[in-house]
Amino acid sequence: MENLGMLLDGMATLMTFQNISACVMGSLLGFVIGALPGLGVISGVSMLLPLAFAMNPVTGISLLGSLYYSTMYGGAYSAILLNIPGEAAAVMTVLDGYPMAKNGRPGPALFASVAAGFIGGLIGMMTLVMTGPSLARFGLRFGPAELAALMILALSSIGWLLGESPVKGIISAMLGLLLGTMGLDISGVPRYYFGVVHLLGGIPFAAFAMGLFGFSQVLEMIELRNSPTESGEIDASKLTLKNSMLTRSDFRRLVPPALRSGILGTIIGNMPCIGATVSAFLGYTMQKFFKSKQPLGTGAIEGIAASEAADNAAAAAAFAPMLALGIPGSATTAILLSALMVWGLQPGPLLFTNSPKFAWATIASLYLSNLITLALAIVFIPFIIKILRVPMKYMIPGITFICLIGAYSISNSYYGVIVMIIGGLLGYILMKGNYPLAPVLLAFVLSNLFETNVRKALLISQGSLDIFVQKPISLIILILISALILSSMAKSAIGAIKARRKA
Amino acid sequence: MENETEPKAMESGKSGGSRKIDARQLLPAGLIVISVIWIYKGVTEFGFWNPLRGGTPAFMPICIATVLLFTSTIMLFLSYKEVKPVYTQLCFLFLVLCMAIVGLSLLIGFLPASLLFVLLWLKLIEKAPWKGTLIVFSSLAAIAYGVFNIWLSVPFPKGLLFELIL
Repeated sequence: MENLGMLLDGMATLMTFQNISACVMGSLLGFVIGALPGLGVISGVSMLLPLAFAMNPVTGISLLGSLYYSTMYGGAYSAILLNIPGEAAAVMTVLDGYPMAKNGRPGPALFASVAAGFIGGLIGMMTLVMTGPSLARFGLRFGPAELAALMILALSSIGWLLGESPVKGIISAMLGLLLGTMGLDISGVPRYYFGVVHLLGGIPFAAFAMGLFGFSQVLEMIELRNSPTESGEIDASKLTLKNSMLTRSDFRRLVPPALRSGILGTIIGNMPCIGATVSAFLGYTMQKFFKSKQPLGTGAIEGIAASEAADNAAAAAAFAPMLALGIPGSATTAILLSALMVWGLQPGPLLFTNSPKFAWATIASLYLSNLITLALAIVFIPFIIKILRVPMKYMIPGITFICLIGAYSISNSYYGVIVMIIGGLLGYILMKGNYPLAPVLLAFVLSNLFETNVRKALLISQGSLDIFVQKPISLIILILISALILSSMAKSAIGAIKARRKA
Repeated sequence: MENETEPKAMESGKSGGSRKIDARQLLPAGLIVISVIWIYKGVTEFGFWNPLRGGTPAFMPICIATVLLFTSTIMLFLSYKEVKPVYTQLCFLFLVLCMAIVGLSLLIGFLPASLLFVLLWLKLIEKAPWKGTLIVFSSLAAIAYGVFNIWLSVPFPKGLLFELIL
């Protein structure tokens, strides 16, 4: 109850024209930055840092925090409409968002992402208020061995996304993992860069994602452009505001996965250096264990809700370790942390004691940003879905153009463009061979995290693998993975026996 | 490329007749080569395991490449039962055009080259009417210059020609 009172004080601090304007500006910019492929939240926050430093700390953090949070909403829009994840965390939203849009329901897909994101974010923020420091301390109990086990859980969950052929799915996942090993390793040793200096920094995620999903999508459009039945163009009569609204049935399907994933996202997002992408991934995977009205991956609203709620919850929860312990929960919160230090504020347990107005105003700004971005997102939907009325012959060069300039803007060099084009060619070849694309990108994202934690754990244990079973949390996660794999195998075996008996 | 003999290739693949190498084996074969390169480079440059520190920088890549090698080999044999993929010539032309844009941008600048691509694609490939072409062209130009160039200050290359003029 005391924390609620402090939150209300924080809201009172926030209620000035300057602070509210900063929240509105941050929310609007973050939404646009999240929606545009190639512009990540990190570049957005970095760009506004000089402006934020010119403001007082409360106004500055309101601007940056709102921008950070609202990019999660924007990233889902390009994922749903263009099959290009605007943010890494939106990769899972692509799996059901884009098919749902192609099935003639782009408006409900966007509304679902907004509603689920709002619910997830609210859960993350409420948990932050009630248990912030305790939650952050729980996150610290996850060391390298525990995080490595969590990564193994995430990677084995990719199995749910393997598609029809397990062998092809494993190949896709291994390819993604392998591509993630290019560049400097955790000890700064250059490897697998083949003499190309740019590759020392690894393959940039945004350019690779744009190529693999977006560019290959363009290539598919080129193949289908002359086929009226397969062109994928949506009946324009479905692209109205009325048809964009969620039905009662849609809400009933959306709320349970949003609540579950919101809680999961809050827990995962609170762990240091994990981020919203892993949360979205695990949230989506968790939904596989629950009923969905239609199979995941075919445009199920449950899939969109699960991934969006988890990623928004994680974005909010990342503030817990940042504010309470001075430990960044993600790369972006690391930049926010540096901003705090420039303002002369010391993040950590004493922040809430020494600068309560600032700490609680920061949390209050997240609530305000959540509301503002929800309103903005809903207002934009009727205009944005008109994009889908554009005939395919104009979409092909249009998407290509946006991908090209977006890829260039990632690193301000041709490197991003070349990575994108090669990623597009790879995506096209994989698609033609019926290899699933999602495992490539997901494994690519997890590759660095996975290897970093495995090697750190082995360094701590001086090369002994026992560390993974000696740590209780790690052991529990490994037992859970074994149980999941065995139950899946048992289910398949029972299904095969039953089928043989029937035959 | 669209293969006029494709139905024959598909039939021979399905009946398990001739085991010629075609597009179906391209990807698994390519992945086998990549795996072998990864394993070879890893073993020769870094080794696999350090008794005191655990994995070397090549530990995880070698493990991953080994799994990829194994699964790609399986896929190579399974690929003969697959339907042969049909590639469209226009798709490869599109990729070549994109690379040409990158090359041309060194001369006339990145944004002008990209906009030129849009114009040429719409008029020469899609045969779109001028009205639609100009609407799309100007909208994309506005986004590129307004959002990326002016607001976000992305330093797109101006190209040799413009730099000489300026």
